Amino acid sequence: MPHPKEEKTYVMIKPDGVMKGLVGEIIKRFEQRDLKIVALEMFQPTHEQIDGHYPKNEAWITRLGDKTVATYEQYGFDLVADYGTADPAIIGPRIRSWLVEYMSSAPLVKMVVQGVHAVEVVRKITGETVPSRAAIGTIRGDFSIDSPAVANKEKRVLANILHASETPEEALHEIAHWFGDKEFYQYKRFGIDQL
Amino acid sequence: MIQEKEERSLLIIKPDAIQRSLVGEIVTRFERKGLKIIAMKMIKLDAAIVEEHYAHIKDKPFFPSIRNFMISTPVVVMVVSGVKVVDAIRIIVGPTKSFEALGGTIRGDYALSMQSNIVHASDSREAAVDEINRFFKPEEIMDYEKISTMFLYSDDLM
Repeated sequence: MPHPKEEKTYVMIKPDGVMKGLVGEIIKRFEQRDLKIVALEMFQPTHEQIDGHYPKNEAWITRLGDKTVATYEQYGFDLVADYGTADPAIIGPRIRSWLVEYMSSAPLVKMVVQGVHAVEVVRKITGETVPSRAAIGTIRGDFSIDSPAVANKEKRVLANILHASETPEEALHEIAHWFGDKEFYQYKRFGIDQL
Repeated sequence: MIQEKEERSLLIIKPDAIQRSLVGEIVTRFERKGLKIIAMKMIKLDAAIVEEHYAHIKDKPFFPSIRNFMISTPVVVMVVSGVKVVDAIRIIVGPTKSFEALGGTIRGDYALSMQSNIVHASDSREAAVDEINRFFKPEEIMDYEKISTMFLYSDDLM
């Protein structure tokens, strides 16, 4: 078991976060909560890297389609008029391709954030997945209003500023995927390590 | 063309900024000016690269203190691009002697010391080229269009 202060999570600032100039703001929110950045890099992912990052199994892809179907039902939009079909198995792969296109459209900033309950706390700071529903005071709640209602209509994926691992297991997997066997920086920081 | 006029500057967010949780604040100050970050990474400097970077003061009696400071924690290095950025960034950062820096500049707002002065910024276009090569490989520098470009640069700069 690592020391509780050494729990790590994976964060990736997405194209809309970089384009809106929110890189500093996002780092600041983690720093001010006494979390520590132990790895950070801006990079331009290749189409292939992003394609490899997202699951390729049929169930996962169809679920993407299911979400669109549900959004259209919720808002009373005409799915067939916009997509030419109501079949989530056909819509799913299209959404996945928009996802890959979006995530490789600008540089991303990847980082490893360390601290007490890092996974849970970073998710809280980030806010709910759908920005229009995210609470004020969270990154998504303060800086975006995107919703599936408009994203699906505009035939693009939801832009929600950043990604943060959902569970400690996912964090381990994502850190390994994006940073490989790179070693993380260890340093003491005033206020966290000298209490 | 903007591309032809674009300059680049190298920034190092120093250990005192890391210690004082000011990394995000410093990055924000450049972003809100409209500048484009085209490279960024956290790295741990070693004595050799610090000596190379500060070659002009390497033989000064105070240099060992600067070297020890610069390798005491990781730092964040960045390349920022835009029209006239070298001069613009020097103004945002403030003078080396932080105790003389005006309020509103990074050093004026956050620092007192000459050594612990939060951030390094290239002092000329020529120095920026050398410094960028010192810390970044060409493939680590990104090429992308930021939406705000056409609003940022009016006819006087384009």
